[in-house]
Amino acid sequence: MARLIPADETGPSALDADVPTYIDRQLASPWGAGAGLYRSGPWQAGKPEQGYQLPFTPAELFRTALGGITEDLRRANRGEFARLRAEDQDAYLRALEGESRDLNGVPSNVFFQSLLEMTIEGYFADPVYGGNKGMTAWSAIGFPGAYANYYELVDQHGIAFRRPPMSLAQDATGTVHVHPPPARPMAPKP
Amino acid sequence: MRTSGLLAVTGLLAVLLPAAHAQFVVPSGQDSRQRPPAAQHCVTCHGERGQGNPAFQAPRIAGQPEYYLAKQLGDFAAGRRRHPAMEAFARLLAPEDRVTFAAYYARLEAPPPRRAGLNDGPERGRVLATRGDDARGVQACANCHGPGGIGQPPASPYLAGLDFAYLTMALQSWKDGTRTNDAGAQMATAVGPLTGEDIAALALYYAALPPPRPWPLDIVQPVIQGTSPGGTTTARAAGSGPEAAAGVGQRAPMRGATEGRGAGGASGNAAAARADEPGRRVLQNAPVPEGDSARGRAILATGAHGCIACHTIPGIRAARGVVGPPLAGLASRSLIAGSLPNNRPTLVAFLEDPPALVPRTGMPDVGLTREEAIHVAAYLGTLGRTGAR
Amino acid sequence: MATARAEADAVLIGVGLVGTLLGRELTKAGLTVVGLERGEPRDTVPDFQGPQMHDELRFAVRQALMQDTARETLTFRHTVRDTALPIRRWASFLPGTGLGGSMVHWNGQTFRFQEDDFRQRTRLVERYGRKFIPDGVTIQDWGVTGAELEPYFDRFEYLLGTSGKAGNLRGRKIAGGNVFEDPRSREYPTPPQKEPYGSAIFRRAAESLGYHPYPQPSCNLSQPYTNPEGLTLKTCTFCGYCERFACEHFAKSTPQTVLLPVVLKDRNFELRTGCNVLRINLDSARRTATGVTYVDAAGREVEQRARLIILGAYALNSVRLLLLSRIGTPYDPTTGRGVVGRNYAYQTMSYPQVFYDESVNINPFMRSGANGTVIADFAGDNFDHGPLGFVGGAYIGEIMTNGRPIGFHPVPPGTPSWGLGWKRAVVRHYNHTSTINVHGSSVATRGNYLDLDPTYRDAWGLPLLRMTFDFPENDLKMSAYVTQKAIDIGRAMGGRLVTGAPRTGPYDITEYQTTHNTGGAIMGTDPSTSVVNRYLQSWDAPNLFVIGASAYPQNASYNPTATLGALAYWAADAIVTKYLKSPGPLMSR
Repeated sequence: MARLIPADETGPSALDADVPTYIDRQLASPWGAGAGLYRSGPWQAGKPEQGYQLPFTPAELFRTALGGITEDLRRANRGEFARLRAEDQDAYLRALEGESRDLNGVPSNVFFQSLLEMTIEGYFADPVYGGNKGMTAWSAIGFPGAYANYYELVDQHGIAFRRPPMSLAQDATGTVHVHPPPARPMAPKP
Repeated sequence: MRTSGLLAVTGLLAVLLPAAHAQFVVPSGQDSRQRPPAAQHCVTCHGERGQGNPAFQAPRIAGQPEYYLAKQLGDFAAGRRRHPAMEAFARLLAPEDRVTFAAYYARLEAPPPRRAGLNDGPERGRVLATRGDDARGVQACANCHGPGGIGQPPASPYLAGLDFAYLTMALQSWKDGTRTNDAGAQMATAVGPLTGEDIAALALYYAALPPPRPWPLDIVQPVIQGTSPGGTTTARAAGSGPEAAAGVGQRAPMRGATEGRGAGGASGNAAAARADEPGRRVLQNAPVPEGDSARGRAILATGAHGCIACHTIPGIRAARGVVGPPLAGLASRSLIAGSLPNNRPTLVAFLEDPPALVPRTGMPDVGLTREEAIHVAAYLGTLGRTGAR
Repeated sequence: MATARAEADAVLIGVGLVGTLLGRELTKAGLTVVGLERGEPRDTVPDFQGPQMHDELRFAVRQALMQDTARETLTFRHTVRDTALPIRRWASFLPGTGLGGSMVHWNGQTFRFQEDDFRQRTRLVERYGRKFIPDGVTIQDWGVTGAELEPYFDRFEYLLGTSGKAGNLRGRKIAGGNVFEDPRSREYPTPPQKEPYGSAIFRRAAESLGYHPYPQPSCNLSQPYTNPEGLTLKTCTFCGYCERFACEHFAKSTPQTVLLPVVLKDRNFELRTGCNVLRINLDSARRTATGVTYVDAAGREVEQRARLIILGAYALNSVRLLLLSRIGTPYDPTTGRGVVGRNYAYQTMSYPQVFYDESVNINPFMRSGANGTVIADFAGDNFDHGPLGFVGGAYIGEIMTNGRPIGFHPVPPGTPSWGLGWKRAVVRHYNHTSTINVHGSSVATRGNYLDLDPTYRDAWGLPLLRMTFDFPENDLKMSAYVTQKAIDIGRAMGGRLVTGAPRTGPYDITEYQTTHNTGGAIMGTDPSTSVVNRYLQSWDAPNLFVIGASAYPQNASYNPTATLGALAYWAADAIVTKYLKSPGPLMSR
């Protein structure tokens, strides 16, 4: 997380922005359990332009791939990912991205793409979902958020617009009421 | 409307205004923490802290978005919003004064209204505010006015904590068409289908909510450019439609902008005309790096740019000019060259090309590069009221 | 065993744009009408209200207003030589669901097709000769002309309140409008929307190159408008949550804001939601439709008999329903015979970008769905194709609709896809970039078609629709040419960097392009090459009308909706003034 979107003077890292919380909650949600995903077989590999053709739900994909990564690192005697040096973490991520290493049935590049997509989502989504903590990612780019009434401003070309971002879940005091975590994790597919 | 109160106020203004005229046109400049001297007249109706006064149907204005307040003043001045006292008052203000007043009140915090006797009103008010009404084709007020009615700056004011009578009067005036200064007829169409009971319910609901803390200032900052991409001029030079005449956020200067003084429209046009000229500098409200005051002092001391010939400058013995003003205390002054807000980016831009920003200044372009200007500005920034800070 | 409901005069399959329009026209003509919508009922209040509606993750990324692929999707392959696999998650196109259909979450881009599009084959042959149309390209004339449709375009635009500027009023060309358009009888009902900054930069650049920019016609209204049905729309606030979202503001023309309340109040209209039509039933001679069979929200099978059937379930769904009901001969690409599924087409898109200096604040979040400025100089046949070797074209414009950061975080080519370099580039360029849309036509070919998949099924056990499609060589050539023109305009826009690439094959189902799927049940004057006649009446069952973009023999440069609305009114007119008076085929076979 901290390598995919690192911290610097422009804004927080994905870790600082609580993106792991976002990902956990998404994977524990109905979406993570496969809602909105056509899950009938037969399962056949296709061309890349035919899209995702694996039987895993998002939660299964992550669980399986992460298990594969842990094993992979253990087999290579490298210990936990979190303990590697930053450059080594980057190199490992690049390897996952560029190759299609088998992580217990999940090609590493498929997993990496999902991880990267979810990281970007969690970084930039409304904080109601658990990431983008404090809306600092929005502040970094200048996105004003969910309240968006710009009729008077759209033709004031080139203005610098510096309203603090507003979340759809904030109340009058500015507190963002984050969605509670799902009651219990969705049961894994038998 | 309480005509007796209104007459009293108008009478008061009629007496005071001519005498105060000189004060009105002197902008209090950058530091809006201080109440502009002429704002004592606002106090009569709007209260010592801008908390409003239901007796005069003067609404709470403390903490309303700066842009919104400035627009209302501009609309009053131009007759786009009608109210005898407010129109008279607003007309006496130059555009940059309106901005100063708006900035002052925008950062003011006032105690919340007393809530004795107020209840939330019927559930209908909360439903309309947060959900709307499909049958009437009315959307939720919160879409534009924010959660809990805290507003959505810069354009949508807060409603929370405004008094019931004022809210009722305002909603009614949108509905019956006596108030028409809503951009794109947004309020007229949002409120038009409401009944009298709906209005009362909404007014009760919002009046009972706590008013918000002030929003930050300078949410909208115009950027005056030279030839912008593709040859268009920015900052609304090509204005058309009703907003072109609004004079706020379009051509009138906002805090931090660097327009010269003058009637909003005229200076806007002048700025646009200047902006079109090739070779004009691009002026931005982008942050300017901190300079090195020691280097700045050294640049001044060389005499290469002639500063010492026109100014006395603390810390530089050879500077004994009497052509321009003394620079002692410059850092504490509100204005540069008598008409620009005194802040670092503006000072740097002024030093680079004074006549570009203040056409009738006596100070010529003395040939400072941008880097030199940054350092000189840093040194000038040390010249507080009690000498170098 | 299906329960039977009392026969209705007419049944609507789908209550989106087509269902709403036809529901109104038919109830006005005195018919009892049952509208079957498989999605949920929904209204502007409370379902579309903010701030919950302004949720990019939920609506733009998780596609909350779209059909649920878990229950039904399509399979896809490039050619007959491949195996089609399920589209397990939507990406390239996003079919909608729910009352009001896709017109709830559309962008509001409202262009009329030109005469050159309706009579495309004839005009191309006239202009360039018979040999000019590439081999394998099966474009056809529509059987209806732009001139015939003009009053229906007008009627549709005045229902919606479209904001725009005419470029040709009764033959008189008007600078500032689309000077290439066919003559209009009158001006748009409301003036154009305000022009955002990036679009103004585009306009000046296009003008400097001698093109004819004009404001995009928009159904996000520029001012309040009360339509002939007495419904009032409000001014759009440029909130930047348009496509994939519903409008909380009553400012987008949707069935809910322009017509549904009137239809729903009519006592001759009955709306049933949660009702998924499984098939259209025919009589034993298989020459007349008798009604439909559907599954209601409780899972019960119901047979609804009706004398007239309007199939307007979205182009892809309509074609599938015809195939499942075995109405009409399915198209076979190897023999070239058959009609249902034939001439499927899409849209050929590319997106040059202009990266500006940091001082240029584009503010991409201050946008509406159909704002901005476009040129039609390279659309359709508006330019001489003689030396070029392809047909078709694209309109070009800076018509960005949003700055929602999950989807929009432009970076120049060569930026790493993650890490510090990526992040810095995002922060640097987010507010200082313009994307130019090149919105290109899509010819029909022998090999691009729709049929039923042999393997995969939906939640009701019925075969999925199978899409066989890849970009024809013609369209790739067109894209190369027009994209270059767009890049040239981009260079004149004063950015620090202009990037862009034409559309190249193979077609990638994982990249969003447009939801402009057309064809498969095309209209025409010859039943051997069309599924419906020029009144959108089925050649096979005269009491069945199949109305939608499924009728388009090929897709033009412009967005399909305005033409769809005009055709819906055109068909409704034929039904009410001709068919109802004398039921039967309106054209001889």
